[in-house]
Amino acid sequence: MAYDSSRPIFRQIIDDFQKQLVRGELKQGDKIPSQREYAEKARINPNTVQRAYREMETMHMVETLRGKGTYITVSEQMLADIKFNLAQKILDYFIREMESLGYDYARMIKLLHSEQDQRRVENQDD
Amino acid sequence: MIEFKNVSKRFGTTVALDQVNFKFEQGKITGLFGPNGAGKSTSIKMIAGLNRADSGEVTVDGKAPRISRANIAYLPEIDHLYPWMTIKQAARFTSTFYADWDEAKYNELLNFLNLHPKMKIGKISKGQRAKTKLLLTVSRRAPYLLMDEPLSGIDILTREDIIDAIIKDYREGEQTIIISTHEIAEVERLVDEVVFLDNGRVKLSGSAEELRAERGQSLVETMKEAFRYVNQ
Amino acid sequence: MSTSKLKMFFGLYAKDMRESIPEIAVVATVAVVINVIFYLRVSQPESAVAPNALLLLIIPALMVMGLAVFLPLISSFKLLGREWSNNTVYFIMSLPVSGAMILGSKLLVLLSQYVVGTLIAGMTGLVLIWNVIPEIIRFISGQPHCFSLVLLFYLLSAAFLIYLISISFLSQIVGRLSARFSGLITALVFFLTLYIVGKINDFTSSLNIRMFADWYTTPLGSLLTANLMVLLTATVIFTLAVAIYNRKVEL
Repeated sequence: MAYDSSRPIFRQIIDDFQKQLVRGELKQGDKIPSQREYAEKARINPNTVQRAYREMETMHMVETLRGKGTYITVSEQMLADIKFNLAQKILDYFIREMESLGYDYARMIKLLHSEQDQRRVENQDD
Repeated sequence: MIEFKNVSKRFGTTVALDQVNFKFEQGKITGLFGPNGAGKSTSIKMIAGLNRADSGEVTVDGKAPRISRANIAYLPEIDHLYPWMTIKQAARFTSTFYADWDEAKYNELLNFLNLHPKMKIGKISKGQRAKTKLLLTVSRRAPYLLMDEPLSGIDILTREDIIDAIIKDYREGEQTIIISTHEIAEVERLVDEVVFLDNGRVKLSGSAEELRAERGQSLVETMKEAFRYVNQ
Repeated sequence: MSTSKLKMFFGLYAKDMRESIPEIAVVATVAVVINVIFYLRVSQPESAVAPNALLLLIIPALMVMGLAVFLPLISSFKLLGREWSNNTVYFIMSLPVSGAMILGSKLLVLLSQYVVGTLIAGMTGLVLIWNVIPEIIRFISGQPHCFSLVLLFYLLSAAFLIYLISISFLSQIVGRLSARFSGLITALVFFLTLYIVGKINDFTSSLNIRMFADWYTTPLGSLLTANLMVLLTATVIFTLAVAIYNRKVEL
């Protein structure tokens, strides 16, 4: 995974795990690499990894069992929340970028509708 | 914890450090950054007890540096090992002085760094010497690890090996590491705290992650900014 | 791993010995060569000198001792100076040991050089004068205190070496206080110290001679006193060198 040095790295670690959850690459009960393994593989400060893992534990995203490892413990609700939060972030980015292009909400909605129609047609052609 | 309180030092007419104040937090990896001549080496040597402040005070766990030498593992920029020794002899020699010498770690790192005990220090390549220095310094469970330009003048593959060895060996929260370098990009993702020095003064200091969150830029960018300001 | 001051000192001693092997070999070789040359000359039938058994023992012994003191003195500059020129001073100065151990182990190594050199030369000499030994033994048993005299004399030479090495260390360490003029300052301090101690010695010996009048004048007594005075002076100088190294020398 490539890290963006201009943003807090521990956040990016958490985001990465969340993305994996959202994409279904990681599921409830899956084991994730230990902090040490993660730090060595990603070649980043073990303290940073520790901070990310601790944060994920606080968020009840993962649970560490002594001597066994760290496991995903997301509930359905939490997964839904994570998806929602990610969607919010993407939406926020979309709105800001569109606004900077000069699009207002009405135009954005119009664009979305026309895009939706176009894709429906493309799907029918397949 | 290592603390510098109003420390000043000059060599002849050159001011190396000018009333600097900073702390190196326990259990963290701190990057000591700055251009050449900023005072990084001088600071590190002061912690290792190799020179003394003209005024002000440097304390290691509240005590004078010279008393704390047994707790400090110092990796100087210079090639400081006996050229006639083999790696094994150098390890044997080092281990007689430190109760925290870890033979298992030594053997593990020896393999990891692709070194052989029979290699003669004076005869191996520069990269191998750098790895040997690291090996001998890090094969200890020393609470404080001081690294003065551990990556300078070394080929990129060896640099990666060295960084990997540091990460592999690091015990979170237990070990305090101070790395001085002007190659910030190399250690960007390695440091918890940063101190930027220039002309013997602290230009900036703080937590790496916080600096990233506040400024939305990498440490490399932050340093370039801090020094562009000065050189204008 | 357990460490103790003794282990650390021995570690330093072993390290310095290992570094000094070539020098020890030189001292021993030179001593033997001198012996051999002397005996060869003296045992020539054309030689005008009638080899008095005792002379056969004493003269080469003095020559050997002279050289065996001179060579380690030269070595002392290399043994300590090398730490700086190789940058290994960064290693030893960051070790958790006092300067006393660092300098002490080097002193011991140089003494060892001396002892090895003189022993080897002595044994070679004995072999060379094999046929004269019975005569010497007869002579020795006729003299009381002979053995102790010789021993004290030998110890005195060793003490004198310690004294010179202490000055060598002191001058080198003071020299290291300056970045640019080390060599000059080292030479200056070396000769200055010799001069000052010489002057002090002249002064005190004029006092002493009245105090220990009787005892002082016996050979045994004077040798013992001389030994003590030299060792005392050496200790003071050595302590000064250690103090400056511990407190003032910087990298």
